Amino acid sequence: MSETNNALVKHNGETPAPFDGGPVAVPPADVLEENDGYVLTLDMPGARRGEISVTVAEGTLAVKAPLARPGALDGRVLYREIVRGSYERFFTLGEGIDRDGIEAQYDNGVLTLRLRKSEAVKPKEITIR
Amino acid sequence: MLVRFENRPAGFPLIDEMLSFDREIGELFAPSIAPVAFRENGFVPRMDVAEGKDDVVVTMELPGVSKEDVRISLDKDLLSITGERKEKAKSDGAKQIASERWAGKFSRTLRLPYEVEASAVSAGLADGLLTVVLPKAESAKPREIAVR
Repeated sequence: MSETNNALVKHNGETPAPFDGGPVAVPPADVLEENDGYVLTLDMPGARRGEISVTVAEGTLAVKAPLARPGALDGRVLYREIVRGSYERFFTLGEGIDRDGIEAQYDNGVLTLRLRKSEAVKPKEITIR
Repeated sequence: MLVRFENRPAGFPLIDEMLSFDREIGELFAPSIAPVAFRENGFVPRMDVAEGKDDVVVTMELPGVSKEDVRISLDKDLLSITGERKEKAKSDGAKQIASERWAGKFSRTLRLPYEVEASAVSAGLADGLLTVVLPKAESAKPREIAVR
């Protein structure tokens, strides 16, 4: 089990190539392990619901979203701290994650991903007869 | 990233300038993953300040913060944005494996570069971004002088 845990939170390290040219921001994430799955929470302020992509390929869960910030882009910039470009973050999934059971929800700048453990690795209670 | 202040006019003093500078240094070593800075009176969310012809627009990253928990105040030319990001209670039996997001009180204060119309300030919160629009006072608006 612990192997699965370690693999799940592993950030792939290398800086990904931006998919739309701009700089890339890595959204901070919380990872919670529950009995039957994991909850990944990412802060992605400024992302829009319809533009966030969550994909799973070859054991990597990828979260990407372009960053458009209307308003702040108009006029003359006096002070700038917020990254423009895109969000990208990758997670390596362990074998024990059900690839088909991933749910995503985006609300007020926070993306929540729910991952289910596959039946084989779920903790089981054995009844003593 | 150190050149990010390039666009800032020389006379635009920001109260948390030193702190931002700390963050800039931090970002040299850990680019985009550097968390929101923290100091005694709370977290310091990232913000942008832009200027249009008629107003000054402040944009601040406040993901997961409800509008009831944000307080914006204006005292002459000092704009303060404070509040709290409440963390959702985690379910029983859950184990925290990684914790990178910030939670708790936040606070930022900046000195506005222009006199603004305090009664006409508006604010909105969408997709985790707070936008405060501060219309410039008549005296601060650019004026065209007709040549006779």
